[in-house]
Amino acid sequence: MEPIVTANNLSRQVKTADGELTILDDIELSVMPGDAVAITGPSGSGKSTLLGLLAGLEDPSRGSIRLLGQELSELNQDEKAALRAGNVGFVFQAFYLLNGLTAIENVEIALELAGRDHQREAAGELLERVGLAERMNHYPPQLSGGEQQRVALARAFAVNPRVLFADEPTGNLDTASSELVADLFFDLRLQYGSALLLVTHDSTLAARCDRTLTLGVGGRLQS
Amino acid sequence: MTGILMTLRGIRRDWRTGGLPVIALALSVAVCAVTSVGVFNERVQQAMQSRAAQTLGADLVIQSHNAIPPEVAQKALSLELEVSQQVEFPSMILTQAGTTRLVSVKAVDQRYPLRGSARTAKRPYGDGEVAGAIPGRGEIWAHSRLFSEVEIDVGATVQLGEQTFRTTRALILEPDGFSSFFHMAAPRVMMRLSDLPTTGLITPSSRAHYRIQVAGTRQGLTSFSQWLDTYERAGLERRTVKDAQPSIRRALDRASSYLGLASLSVVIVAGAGIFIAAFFYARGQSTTVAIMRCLGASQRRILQTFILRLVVVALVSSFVGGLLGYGGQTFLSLLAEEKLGSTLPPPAIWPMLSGIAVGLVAAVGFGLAPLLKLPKLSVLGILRGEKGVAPPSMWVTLGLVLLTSGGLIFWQAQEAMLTLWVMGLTLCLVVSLAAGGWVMLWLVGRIRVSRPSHRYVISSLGRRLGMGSMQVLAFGLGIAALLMVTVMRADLLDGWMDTIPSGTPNRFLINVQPDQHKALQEFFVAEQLASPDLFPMTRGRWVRHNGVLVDPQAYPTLQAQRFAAREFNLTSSIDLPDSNRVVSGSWWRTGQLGDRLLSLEAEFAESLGISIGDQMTFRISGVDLTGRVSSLRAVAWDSFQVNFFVIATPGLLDGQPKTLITSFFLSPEKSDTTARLVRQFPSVTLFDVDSLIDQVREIIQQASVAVQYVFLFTLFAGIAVLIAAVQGSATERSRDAAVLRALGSSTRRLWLAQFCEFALLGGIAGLLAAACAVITSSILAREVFGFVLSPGWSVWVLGCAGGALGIGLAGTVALRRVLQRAPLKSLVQN
Repeated sequence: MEPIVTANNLSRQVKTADGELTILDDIELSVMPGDAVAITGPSGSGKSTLLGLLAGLEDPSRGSIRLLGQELSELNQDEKAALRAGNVGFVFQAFYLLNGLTAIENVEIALELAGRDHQREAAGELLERVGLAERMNHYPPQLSGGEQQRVALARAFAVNPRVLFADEPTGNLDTASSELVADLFFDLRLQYGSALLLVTHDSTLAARCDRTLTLGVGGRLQS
Repeated sequence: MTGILMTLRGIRRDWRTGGLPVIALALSVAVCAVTSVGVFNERVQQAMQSRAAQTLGADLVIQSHNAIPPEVAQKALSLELEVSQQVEFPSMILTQAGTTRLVSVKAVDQRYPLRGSARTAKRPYGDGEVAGAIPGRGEIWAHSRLFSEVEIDVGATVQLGEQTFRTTRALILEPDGFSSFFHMAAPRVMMRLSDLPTTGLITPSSRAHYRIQVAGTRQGLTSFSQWLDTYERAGLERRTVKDAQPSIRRALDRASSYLGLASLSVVIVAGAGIFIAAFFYARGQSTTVAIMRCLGASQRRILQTFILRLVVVALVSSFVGGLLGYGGQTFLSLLAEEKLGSTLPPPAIWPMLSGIAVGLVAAVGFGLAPLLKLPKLSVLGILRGEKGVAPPSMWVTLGLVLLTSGGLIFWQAQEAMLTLWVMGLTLCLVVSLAAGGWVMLWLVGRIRVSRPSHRYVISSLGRRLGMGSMQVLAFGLGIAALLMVTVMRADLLDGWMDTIPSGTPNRFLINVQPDQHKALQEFFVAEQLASPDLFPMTRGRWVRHNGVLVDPQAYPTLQAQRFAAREFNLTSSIDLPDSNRVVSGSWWRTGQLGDRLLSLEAEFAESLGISIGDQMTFRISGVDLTGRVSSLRAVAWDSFQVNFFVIATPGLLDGQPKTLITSFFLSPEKSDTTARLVRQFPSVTLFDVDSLIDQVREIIQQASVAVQYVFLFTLFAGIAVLIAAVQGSATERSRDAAVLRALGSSTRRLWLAQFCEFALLGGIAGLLAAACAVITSSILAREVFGFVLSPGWSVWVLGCAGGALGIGLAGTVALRRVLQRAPLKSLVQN
């Protein structure tokens, strides 16, 4: 079986006033379909950057990334976006819902971008599944943080993703909301069978994944 | 010193984080526009004045019934001005055949004329050639009609006083001959001034007009005028271009009004950009201010800090804008000179200084209101990330914007009434655009579409109602200004040009006797010319105003003194003449035709202090006739129709001695008609006003060229507004674009969504702007230019389609960096 995400010799440097700063250094990584991998590490260790690179949201300084069997360096922005559409789901710490659309429209737009038009019913069902049946027509600013993250979950799983990238999905939530969102998140993952790459500080959350990788100082990955 | 350094450091920091660069851009554009247009206007105005000065033969004329003291000419010469002297007087001419005729003699020196040129011909009514000199010694030039009246040919000898002269040329045109042609019943004879003593015609008791013409630099003329103000000598009358022919004066005033208003539109559009940029700058500073407050900074200190930054940015950007504007006008002037085929006068420095002052005023007036809220923000709210800076107080904003706009408009218009008009119009424009924008965006937000991506575009507009209506207002102002200086410019200038269409009367006939009426009509039929309307004209002196004897010297202005002293040409009419419009009171009804009523030209009445209901008594052939003023009229002098300062009801002038006057169009190929007309009606006086019409047409064309360049600056100001507005929503747009990109959206789809959103905004702004442009231009056409405007459909199409396409493309281009940025970068930054 082919890995769903692989990274070889992956590095990322940025220019600063004091010279070049290495954020990620020589990362080797492989995630098989259905795997759940947690990436942990101290603040500023480059966890979110690694997640973004693996999802094709940014280009590495060196090394190669294969996502869903495609070498990302060979794809342009549009080809990367097309690869993500319908195959990749995202859950961000800051939710990143589109404020101009209602909860159901936020889910629907992910389906539309995946080439599945007129899926209002399916979007509605997912929102019911995350407990937002009564809040479907509310706009993000009218929802609490926990509710917004549940809309984001529905949006991520709506396209039945083969891989899910999650960056601190409970980082902005209180304890109660956090637990609720985490339970929903792992239930849905099991239900859809998506591979998972989860960036988190939360050891409980990391423990629910199949394995944990830690990014240390200097951007090196340790198992 | 520390404070200044801190301010400069703060500016450097804020410059990188955005906000200030847009304020600087908007200000630089505004100042660049005001300076360029100011310098360019000044140069075009001077060129126009110089052209118009040809109707005076000089830049300034001093005249008197007595010999002008030599120190007046000496003073002008000492200021390095050119001076020419003339004497004008009536006299009798005697031909060798013994025929006598009253003539109007004009003795001129060798420098005559200082502006323009006389035209003479080898035979009467021939094609005039520019006269490079004045008549030679012992020679005279005579007006064509004299040759037919006394039956002599060019070359004949005539006696004038004690001297015999040879008629060497027919005088076709005097550059300064229009100003009093209605009063010049006798044909003109021109001679050289040095020949005058030999005629023995001028004695201390002679009835003569002494005249000094002056021309030169603006500075010299100003100094000379100031000296004249202090020179106390009774009976010296000063005439400038402004006192020239009403048609030229009116054309100049209109051109000046239009250019002034056009350049102001740039400042107001840029003001909208400054306001929006300052609003977003203040919003971007909320966290900094909250932290400063936590660290103990007082509200006063915070306000001082940010006002100081604004003022420093305003000073620098205004200076840069001023320099760019000064340089930019050179390019504009070169283009204009190429189009006009003439050289413009050198540029003055003061419009640049004015432009910089305008920049500072605009920065404070439009940019201060958003900053005033900074010290009062909720610290806890900001630190929790719940609140930004509240929108500025509506009343403070309105007050500051009104005060600034009003001040700037008054500075430009120099007239309270015009300022109120423009302010009122601008306020209506702003309110209409903002309210119209709000309503239309609200309606758009209510549109139901099934696809979420379409809904995203629509909801983006509907959700940002406040910001959206502000953007519609800003874009609308820009588009309205653009429409007015482009599409409506064509309509306005065409309409203005149409007031002197190709068939405009170019010949005036005066002294037509009532018994010649029928024969004259038959002559026109025989010559295949349209039969013109003949107007009765009765001459009378104004003797009493509301029963009190009129004393011309009692009037404060020279123009009023001249009006009061001279003989009036009165006419009677049943109907309001075509090129007249009643501005006060009412025109007489059929039942009032037998009453003794008067209608006066409004500016004329104002200068003489005459109001509706006043009684005016005229002495006509020794008989006093009194009428009551029942209406005031605005007269389109540049229509070249026969017009009168005073029109009476037929009942007032019945039975009084009268002659008839008319005007008609004579095409160049029918020039022979003139000679036949004069031969058949020798007592009739004919005037050719072709060159006057040409001058008015040229002034309109010069204004037209100038306005085309104002368009460029309105466009730049509109771009500054666009950048300010786009920057305000860039953070949110960048975040949304990154999310959509992460979800798999293609670049094309992202561009399309942004384009559609801006295009909708631009379309709405364009539609409202077209409505505003049509209404404003119609009012301008009526009140400033004096004609009824019929705007074409193109203004609506261009407003809507141009607004949608222009704003759509410009908005998308302005966001290109946001759309092209890697999604992770956008998400991390937000």
